Amino acid sequence: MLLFLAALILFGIRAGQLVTLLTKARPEDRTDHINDRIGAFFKVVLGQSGVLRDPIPGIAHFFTFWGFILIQFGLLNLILGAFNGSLPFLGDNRIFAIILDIFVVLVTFSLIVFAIRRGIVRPRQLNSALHGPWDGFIILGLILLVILTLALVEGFEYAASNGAAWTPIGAFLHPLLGRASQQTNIIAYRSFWWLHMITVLGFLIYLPRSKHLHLMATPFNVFFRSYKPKGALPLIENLEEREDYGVSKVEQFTWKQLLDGYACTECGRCNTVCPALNTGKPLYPKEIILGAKEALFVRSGEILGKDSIYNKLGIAGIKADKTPAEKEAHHEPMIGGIISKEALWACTTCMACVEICPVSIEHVPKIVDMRRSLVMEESEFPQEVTSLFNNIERNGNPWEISNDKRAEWAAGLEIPLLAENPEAEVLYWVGCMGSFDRRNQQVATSVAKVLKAANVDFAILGPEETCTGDPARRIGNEYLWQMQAMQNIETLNGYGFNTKPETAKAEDASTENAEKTEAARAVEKLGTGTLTKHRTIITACPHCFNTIKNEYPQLGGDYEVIHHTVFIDNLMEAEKLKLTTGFDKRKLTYHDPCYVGRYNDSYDEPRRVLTVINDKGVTEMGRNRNKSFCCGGGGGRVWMEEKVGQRINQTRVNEALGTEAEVLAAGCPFCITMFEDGIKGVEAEEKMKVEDISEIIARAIEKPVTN
Amino acid sequence: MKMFVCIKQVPDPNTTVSKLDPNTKRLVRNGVSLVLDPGDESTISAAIKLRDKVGNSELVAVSMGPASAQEAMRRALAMGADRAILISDPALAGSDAGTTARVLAALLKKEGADVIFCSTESTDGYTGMVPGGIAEVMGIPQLTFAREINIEGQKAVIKRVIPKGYQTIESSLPAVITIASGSFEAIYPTMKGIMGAKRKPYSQVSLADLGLEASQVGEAGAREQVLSIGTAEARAAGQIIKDDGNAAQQIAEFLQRYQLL
Repeated sequence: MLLFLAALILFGIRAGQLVTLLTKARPEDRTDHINDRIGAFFKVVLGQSGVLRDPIPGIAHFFTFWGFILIQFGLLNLILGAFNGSLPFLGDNRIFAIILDIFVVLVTFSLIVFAIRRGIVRPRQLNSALHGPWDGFIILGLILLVILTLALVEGFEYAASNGAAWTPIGAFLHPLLGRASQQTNIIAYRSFWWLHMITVLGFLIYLPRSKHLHLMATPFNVFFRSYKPKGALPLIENLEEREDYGVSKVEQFTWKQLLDGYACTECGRCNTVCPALNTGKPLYPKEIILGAKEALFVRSGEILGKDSIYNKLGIAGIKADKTPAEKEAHHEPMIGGIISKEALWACTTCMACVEICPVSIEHVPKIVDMRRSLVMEESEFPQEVTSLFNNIERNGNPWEISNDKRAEWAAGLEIPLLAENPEAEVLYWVGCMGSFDRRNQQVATSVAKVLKAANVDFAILGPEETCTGDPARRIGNEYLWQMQAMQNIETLNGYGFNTKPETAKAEDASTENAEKTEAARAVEKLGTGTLTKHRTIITACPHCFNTIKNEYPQLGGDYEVIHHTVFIDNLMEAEKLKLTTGFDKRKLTYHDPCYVGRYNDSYDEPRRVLTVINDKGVTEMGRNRNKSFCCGGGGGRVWMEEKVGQRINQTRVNEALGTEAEVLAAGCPFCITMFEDGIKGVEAEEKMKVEDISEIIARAIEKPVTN
Repeated sequence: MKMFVCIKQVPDPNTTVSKLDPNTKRLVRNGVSLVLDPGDESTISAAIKLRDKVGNSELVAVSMGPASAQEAMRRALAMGADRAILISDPALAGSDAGTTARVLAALLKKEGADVIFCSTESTDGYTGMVPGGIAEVMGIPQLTFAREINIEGQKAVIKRVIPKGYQTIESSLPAVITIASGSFEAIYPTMKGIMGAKRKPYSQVSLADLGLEASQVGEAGAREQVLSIGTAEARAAGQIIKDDGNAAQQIAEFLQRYQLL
């Protein structure tokens, strides 16, 4: 009895300390969308949908998860059994006994799978810089011990009760245990009963400081996952009044960001998909999460404060470093120590890690929060970025070009400025790349051609448009983003584009389906004059698109923004744009831009468009849709040099070349730039061209409609 | 130690096509975007670096110009200067390089400057005469093209860029130090810097405060006159080498011809 109590108290102290640490972190509200949260809990936690996406370890995990839960009931039953009691319903229920034992067998098989994976297959992503492989094996050993002792308990109980306490395993083991005396059987039963208990209790105590903390934290982490637009970074409020900007100390993360660390199962799926890591950069997304967790434990003494009961108790607390040498070994401070600055700067914010994480960990906002501290508190960032910041601030674009020249690409194309046609139904937000970059000016010209062919009443802002601030925000310069955003919001509101009064009624319009109908609705209304109050912004730049659509609302700018590929798809659907089907005979592959795909879930629309105009449809690359591999340009990376490892753009270009396609269709000006560079880099100019979807459509328009 | 950095607000050299007024023969400064001279950003950064290295020192940004130059001064403060003084007076309009040097020298003398930083030249007028002028008026040494600066006791020791390397030279203090372009990375202001700049001491002084007469400065006091302005001849087109296997060889030869290799 005392043993139980001691173990439970010890566990309670450890768990209490973990929870208390979270309460010391920054607040964040994660109680919206309560129905979705409950749904996700059933699907992801009980249904294990996250881990099942990787089938072999996924199924093994499914069995272990449910086996573990059943064993807990079995355990309670055993405990009550020792006092001659039993659980209601389950206690003497043979069906429960059968199910439990089936799972005991399944868990045993799963453990073999896990052991083979860890010991023999050894996928690289399971490694961690913070500790050796022993943690995983200790856990496997402990689970095995739980299972074995349970089996033996059942076996001897069966023997001791002469078959009265029937369990499948007990009955099965009975002949194997020999014909010991009744007395021996009882002693063996009691011994293994205790061993089973001690193992489970030991597990309980070991758990808070191991990767198996996920067992407790994951259900909460999934429940408290984000339901805000995936592409929106959190806003830093009161920028001008506050003392700190971003995260330099671990306790400046929000409680949910820290819970991510507890929930991390160290499965390393994030590592397997990271474009930076997979081209030899020192960014291990998993180590960012674990690094923050470690940093939290290293600083737990300071965070909890001297008067904390957990510090006073000391003995039972989670391991924290005491001497300066130990701290040194743990690489204080967090940034530049346990989490390297190079890792933070290598991130392309492609969101592949967040997308694949089975337990809803959000890596990207954490990385950007730490970048924010480096940029705004330390003025520390890759040197190339200084001119980017200065140019955006002074010229409203990333280059040393006067913003007055923004509409020069459109000279002679008869595209009105919004100032000349303030009632235009559609604003084409050209973006800096479309306005100034020679290659992407061709894309802008094609977009304009497509809009004209569909008789869309549209205009551009010209010099009134200025950089959305997206690269600045992703690099960590929240201040510059806010300045740019506020300026653009003022301009857009001035022309009456703000939709807030109308969207307020349909607040939940952020899901994929609602987005589709939103675009379809916009297209339906074209030419009917009903758009005059509620108007649409379209853009060929996914980065402009994402920040205006998902982030400007944080500053009161709510707009209907549609990516041009989606808009074109809807124009075709509504037959406002009639094209020759199968006009393009070239073999074609499509690259999902991160900010269209993973950020905003538009995978089908671009493919539908391409399938109409191309007679072979889309030949997919191995990594497509939500597994698309970044071009290397996101997160401000396009403005930084890529000095370490292989080039991300070339890696993706090689993958595209592998499909033997002649055309790499894209929907993002940065992807186009990165891929054209990449194609030059691998000397494949003869083999493959990069084209924006609008460019292919523009060519189709010039062909007479034959169907 | 009292350190000063002389700065200037100029038409943004990156986006503005400089226009000259045919009547006054001067640069048009109205209706263009004005910024802190990008060259000065490096100079301020060099000065901040030295201030922090020496310790127990103050860095003051000074400028002569219209009240609108305050924006450029704020940038210097955001970057890390401790305070800023703007010399502004209607009578100063039309001052030449010599006058600018005399006016700045008057302030620097009054303030008791130990080290005075200047850019080699401004990015608008490009006369390059002000730093030398200040040293002359104040009767102190000028150290030019510094790429590394140290204070040793009561001496300034710099590494000075020369065509084939650098010289180490020293001088007594006070001294004027001009910076070799490209030697110091410009500091990008932190948020703390930007917010703090609003609270840092900023003062504006007039000619009278410096004990100068209006007749000595501006158009009236100018000894330098712009006689005529003209369009620069378009540069001849460069040579394009097409790579047929020995482009590297040809480029190397070309560079050798100009002793660049």
